[in-house]
Amino acid sequence: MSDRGDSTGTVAVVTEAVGLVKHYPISESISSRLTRRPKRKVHALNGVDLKVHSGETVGVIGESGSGKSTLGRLLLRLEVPTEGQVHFEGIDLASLKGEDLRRLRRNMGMVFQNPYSAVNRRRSVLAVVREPLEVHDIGTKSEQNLLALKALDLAGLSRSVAQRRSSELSGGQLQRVAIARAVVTKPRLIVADEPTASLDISVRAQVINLFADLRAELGLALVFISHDLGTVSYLADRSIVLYLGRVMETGRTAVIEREPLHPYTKALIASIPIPDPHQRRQAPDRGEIPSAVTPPPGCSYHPRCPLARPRCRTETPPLEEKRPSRWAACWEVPVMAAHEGGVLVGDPHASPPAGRSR
Amino acid sequence: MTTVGKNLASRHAQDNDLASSTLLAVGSLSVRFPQGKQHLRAVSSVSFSMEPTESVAVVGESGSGKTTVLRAIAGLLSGQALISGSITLHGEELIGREEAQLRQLRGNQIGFIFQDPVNCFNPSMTIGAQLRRILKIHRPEVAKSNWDAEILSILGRVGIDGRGKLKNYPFEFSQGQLQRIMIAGVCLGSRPAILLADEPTTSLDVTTEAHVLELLRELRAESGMALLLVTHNLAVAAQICDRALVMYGGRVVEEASIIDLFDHPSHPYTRQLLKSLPHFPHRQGRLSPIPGELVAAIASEQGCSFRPRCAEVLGEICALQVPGLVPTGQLGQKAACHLFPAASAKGVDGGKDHGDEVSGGEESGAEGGRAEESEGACQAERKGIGEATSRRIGEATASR
Ligand SMILES: Nc1ncnc2c1ncn2[C@@H]1O[C@H](COP(=O)(O)OP(=O)(O)OP(=O)(O)O)[C@@H](O)[C@H]1O
Ligand SMILES: Nc1ncnc2c1ncn2[C@@H]1O[C@H](COP(=O)(O)OP(=O)(O)OP(=O)(O)O)[C@@H](O)[C@H]1O
Ligand code: SF4
Ligand SMILES: [Mg+2]
Ligand SMILES: [Mg+2]
Repeated sequence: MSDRGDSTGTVAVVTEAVGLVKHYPISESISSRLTRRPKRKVHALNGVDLKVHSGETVGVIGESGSGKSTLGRLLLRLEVPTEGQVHFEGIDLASLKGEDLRRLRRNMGMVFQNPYSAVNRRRSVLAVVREPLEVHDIGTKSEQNLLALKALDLAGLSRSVAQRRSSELSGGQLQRVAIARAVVTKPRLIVADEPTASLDISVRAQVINLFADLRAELGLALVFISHDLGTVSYLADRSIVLYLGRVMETGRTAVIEREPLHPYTKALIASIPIPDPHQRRQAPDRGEIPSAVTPPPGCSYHPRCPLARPRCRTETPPLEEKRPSRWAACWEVPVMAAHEGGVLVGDPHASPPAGRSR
Repeated sequence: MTTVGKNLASRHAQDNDLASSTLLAVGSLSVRFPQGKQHLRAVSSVSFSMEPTESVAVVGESGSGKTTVLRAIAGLLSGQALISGSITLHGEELIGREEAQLRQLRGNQIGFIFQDPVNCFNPSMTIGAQLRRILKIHRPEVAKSNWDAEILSILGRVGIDGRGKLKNYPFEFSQGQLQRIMIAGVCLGSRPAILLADEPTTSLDVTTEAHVLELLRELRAESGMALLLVTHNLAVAAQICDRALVMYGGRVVEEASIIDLFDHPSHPYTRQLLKSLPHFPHRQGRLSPIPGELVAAIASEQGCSFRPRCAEVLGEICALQVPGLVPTGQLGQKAACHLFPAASAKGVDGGKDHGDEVSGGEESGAEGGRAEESEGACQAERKGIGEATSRRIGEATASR
């Protein structure tokens, strides 16, 4: 269980993940079966801790394949972790089965990247939004309709949209429908996996604002997954930066984006294209993402890291509190004490995901 | 060429009086997709031109017709759409040619990078075989024994260590890798005079995106290849393009150098689009999205398509008359908005043939002559509206 930096408990912890590991077996090709190589697996997640409070948004940032979606699925127990636990409001999800798990699930919602595949496009908008209520058997039919209409309101969709078929809607409208559907059961946790990636820039801004409103109105715990720190920074109080299934850095988003500690976070930030033709820049960090099947030994970032030293190739750096309320896993980032960094400790929202040293 | 010189050149090229240097000239291009008994006007009266080595961005909202313009240029719409207008490459007209002739004309001159790399590879052929085939067809001078060395060196350029991977199939690569292999394929063939790239980085994560942009930049610096890049990400356009066309509802609503576009955008849509961009590091407060949603891609035949979402509507004129694309006063910049009164004045007697003096006139409000023959009646009707409102135009501009 996480112990480090957790504060007084004035703000309720909604979701807590401890030491999450997820390995996927690889379906071996015939040739490798013939050569009798040992069974290989994808190391999608390698010991991730995360804690989300009510009313708080945590961003999950990282390149493609870093394990963001895997983490999201484990938090909702859409998949079972290889190791580690997920607690929802103190309940270990592994201890629940069948009906109990299903009942708890109504408190959790998920929004996916692609609204086109997430929403049954032949049904009316109202039916799509009402469905989770039917599944969880909440209220009478007319109550369900009312709740669904309310959720549409919340998502900023006019009631005239309710009777239309989802197939008639634009991508932005459809994503709002998906969000209405995710909030209709009044969940206390929502995991949004790249919810704005498929949207246009102007519509993206609408959806980000919508999430900000919902969080304020519903006191939601929100896990917001994106490869784009630029998008995350508008919403997330705290963020974790994933690389090959490990947390490289975590802390307050506003601090990370202005003064990243980890070389990987720096590379991510330096890659964000600047919307200003006066500031053209070159791509940093030319390396390839190594395979998650055979992650590099030591610091998994070392093959791409400009600071890497011999130690980085053999020893895995622990996720340490390098500055007050700021954690990073890197041998080259020195630990500075509170008086050196000059930052106050004890902000409950800044509580760490209790990085496990190994 | 200086920016000013370039802008001047491209302005002159608008009238299809091809300065010998013009690489690509698109004149009054309209594309309609049959939809039941009706037609969906995906692209309306789009005109622009490109000089060799220039890089031009086509930006705009989803459904505004960006991809359709690109596909029309690449000749990928035949059979699906009704196309009118003119597209010339080095002065040779591409529209209306036979398929075989087209292929020859386009030949090795046009390269295309698609948004979705997965569909551009043959799933049942190894990557090595597909790249070798490009060499075989386009680079007969390379000896067979040197093929793999050549391929590995190009793959290295796109940041992929190809050793041992040539015998892999497309599904064994990630999307970002395939996107880069596709670009490697373009470099491998005889380099095209112009590369058409449709959202080449939209599906990629930020680091891979940065690499792909860098690569495109390098390629252009090396071979002088022109680039026509479709994206809805203005930041991407800002990073690698010289000039931009902003599309809305099937029309070009603004044309400007990339610097002017950011420093003094002239069309209300462009202005609101720029305001909705997220900043990094983020600023306090909320993002300011453009209110409302793009209703339909169908270019309006009456009034300005952007009117329902526009914060600066002038009055009735915006509902009645399609604004033409006219100079804003800033050298090389044009906008299609009644805020720029020249637009209204010219829009009324628009519809002249190509060959109008300079910029704008021939493609304002009513569409260019040849492209519009079949819609003569409709055009006359619009002209009527134009005349009827010309007095109100005066009022509108006076009351501003
Ligand atoms: N069901 C699965 N079976 C096998 N491997 C998987 C499965 N799901 C994910 N993986 C692998 O696990 C790793 C992490 O994948 P994940 O989808 O979590 O990454 P991500 O950060 O969400 O990436 P993206 O930004 O591309 O969505 C990848 O190497 C991926 O190929
Ligand atoms: N083959 C087709 N048949 C019918 N309609 C089409 C076809 N291709 C495009 N359209 C329609 O034409 C309009 C313009 O589409 P286009 O793909 O050019 O937009 P876009 O600007 O590229 O948008 P996005 O940013 O979403 O890719 C849209 O309404 C689209 O639905
Ligand atoms: S531990 Fe070493 S390789 Fe890893 S990020 Fe830090 S300096 Fe780079
Ligand atoms: Mg994912
Ligand atoms: Mg497109």
